Amino acid sequence: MNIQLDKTENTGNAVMTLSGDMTVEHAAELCSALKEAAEQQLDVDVQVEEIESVDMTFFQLMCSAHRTFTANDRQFVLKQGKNSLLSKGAASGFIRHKGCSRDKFHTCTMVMEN
Amino acid sequence: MSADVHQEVFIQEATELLQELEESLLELDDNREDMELVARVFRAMHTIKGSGAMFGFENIAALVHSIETSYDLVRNGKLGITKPMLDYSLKACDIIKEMLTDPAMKADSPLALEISAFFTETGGQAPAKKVHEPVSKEALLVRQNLTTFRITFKPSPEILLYGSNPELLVKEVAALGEASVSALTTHMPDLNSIEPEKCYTYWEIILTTDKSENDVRDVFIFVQDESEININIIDDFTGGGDNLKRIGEILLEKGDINNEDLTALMDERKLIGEVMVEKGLVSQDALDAALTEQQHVRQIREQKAAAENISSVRVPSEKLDFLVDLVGELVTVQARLSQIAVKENNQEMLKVAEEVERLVWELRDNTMSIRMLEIGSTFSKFKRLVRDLSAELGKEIELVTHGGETEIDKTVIEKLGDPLVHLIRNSIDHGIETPQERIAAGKEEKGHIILSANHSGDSVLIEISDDGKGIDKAAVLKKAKAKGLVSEGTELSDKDVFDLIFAPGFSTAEKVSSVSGRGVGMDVVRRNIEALRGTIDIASVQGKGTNITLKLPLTLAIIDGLLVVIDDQFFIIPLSIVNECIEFNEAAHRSSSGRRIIMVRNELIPYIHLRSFFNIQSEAPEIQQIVIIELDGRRVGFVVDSVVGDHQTVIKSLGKAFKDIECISGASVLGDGSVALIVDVQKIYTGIE
Repeated sequence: MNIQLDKTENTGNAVMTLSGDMTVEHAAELCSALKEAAEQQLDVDVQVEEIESVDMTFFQLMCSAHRTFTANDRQFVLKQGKNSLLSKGAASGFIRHKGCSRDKFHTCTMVMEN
Repeated sequence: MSADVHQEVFIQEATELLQELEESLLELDDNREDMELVARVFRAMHTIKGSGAMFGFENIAALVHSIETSYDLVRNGKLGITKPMLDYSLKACDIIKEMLTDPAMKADSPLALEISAFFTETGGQAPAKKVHEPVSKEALLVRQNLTTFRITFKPSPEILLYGSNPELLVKEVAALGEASVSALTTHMPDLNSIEPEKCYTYWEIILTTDKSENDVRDVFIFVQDESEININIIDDFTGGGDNLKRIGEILLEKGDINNEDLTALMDERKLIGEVMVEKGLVSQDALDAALTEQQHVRQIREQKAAAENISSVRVPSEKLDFLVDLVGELVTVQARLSQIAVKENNQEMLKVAEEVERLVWELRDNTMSIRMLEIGSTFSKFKRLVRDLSAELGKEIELVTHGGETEIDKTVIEKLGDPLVHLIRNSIDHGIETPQERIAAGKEEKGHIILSANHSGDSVLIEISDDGKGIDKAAVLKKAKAKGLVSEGTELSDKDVFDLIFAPGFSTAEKVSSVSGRGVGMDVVRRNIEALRGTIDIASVQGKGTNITLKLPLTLAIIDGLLVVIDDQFFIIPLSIVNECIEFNEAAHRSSSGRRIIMVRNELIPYIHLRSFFNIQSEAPEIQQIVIIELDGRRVGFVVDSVVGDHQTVIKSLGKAFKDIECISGASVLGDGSVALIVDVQKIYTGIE
């Protein structure tokens, strides 16, 4: 798995780019990167590229990060590659019609983009 | 049934399965993670192997065994799909096809051995695992003992650390029938407290299956001690179609809400689920799961009802051909009956004749509709052609198909294969550029060929278009002049230039490849399409691409025709292109310039005398009829002695002795036994144009 966090000058935003295997073997690494981004009080856009494989640990981390950022009034938005990712998670049920009650920005990471 | 008959049935079914298999493999190439496709490939392999061994095709069973094992591993998440795997699987399909035609053929050809070695290396060494055979939705829905279960699976948070994968268990349960899976993340901690390798998710699976509760529990046998597993029956299909549970009832039953809160909310008359979420009584997750459950049960019930109403019978196509022949004979006899009834002026007999005529028309329409097939089955064959040829030529090409559901007579479909193969090969070889050329031309690296079909009146339009380099008109003209097809200085329209491509032996290809360029193709393509009473048109823009349109009749067996007479000879003009018939007095319409043009409601329409066209020597009557037809948006008149009326035309070929007669496309036998010739209007029209 490759994780890259790029901060945008002066805006307080960042883009996290993920690629490769998003499985339990790399869950700890991803978790650390997400915590680091959360500590910096940034709004984060996640871009997913070239997914080799994905499992439940990835969806759990996305959900956890989304809740953490939202609770701190920060945006955590899964942007590029979202639908393709969710179609891989659909067989295991990681897909939603609507975000949970905490999804005040309507950016749930498990709701398909139109 | 004798063994031979069983074997015959197997060959027929295996051929169909192979086609399905090839389609699934090609789809899998585009969506390698699609487990439904993997399951479809596995099922097809499994059936071919099992039935093959049963009916004496041990060679097939031997070849398929290791391939099936590999796909089983893919199904279980232990192996990923790779390109070589798909390539070898497709090659295996080709070998199986050969084995079906030659049961004595052994699975020991160099290619068969290479395939077996590849798959044995890939997956043959993996341990055998008890697997549940996925059941198709259609097959499942017609079963009698169906039950819908709600399975709640709350694994231990440490399940991943124990080496078990809850997702695989969920997928295995889902494979027992038709399932809707919800992963619930209600208790997901925030980033500060999450342990990334623990499981915080629990699942609700709504499963409709013919398996028992114990079968479902068996899936969780190795994790049941550390997990919470609840299995409840929520529908056993015994209560009729209108007793679906409401959202409130489902949530109450699951314990997500208590009875008092529910009753209080009922008074508010809002959508109960929304109210519950707003009030914080249930989570959005729980509501989503309940909605999924409600929708699942509703859909399954509707689909089950629909599936039970569908029944089909497999009939050999020869029997259908024979049925069409018989209907054709019946149409002829019916015409004779009607003629006799009119001649005798027998009122009773006229009534019967009319009744018979009505029934024969219905029978004809029904029989013809039975022979209609979706053209999609032909389209899917070309995906393989495009894949293989583009790889051979180092090009990247995607075939996109539209209108595969368009129906057309099976005889037309059977005869359409070769011309379409030729046209698609031309597009691949001459049309689409190499990736380097495309990039240089500012195009996307990948070329596209679009194959589409749609109905247009009583015809089907099939279009083959590509976004390649288009036809170089200057090169076509140069070649045509060099071959003496066009004289120097001749001005030709685009259509005329493109028509030159259909000249025998014409090719602008600089080199002959194994794919195309021998110049023996397009004239044969046009001849084949015309033999189907169809037309072919080319439009092309240099640098942008080429579009070829085939217009084909829906059927070749029986058409509605207009029966006309010249002297004592009957002719038939296809009714679908006839606009109108008007009285015609040659003397009154003869123009001073001698041009054959008639004014019909302020429109000048050219006409020709079929009498002189077919060289019938007798004198024309003073008052004749002119039949006005419309082709390609233009109207033209055919002058005949008289018009008899519409006629159900059973098309008979003219036989080898008359095969060179142009402008007559066939014949039909009339009620009195005399023969009517079917006029090839398109050819006459093209000739005079």
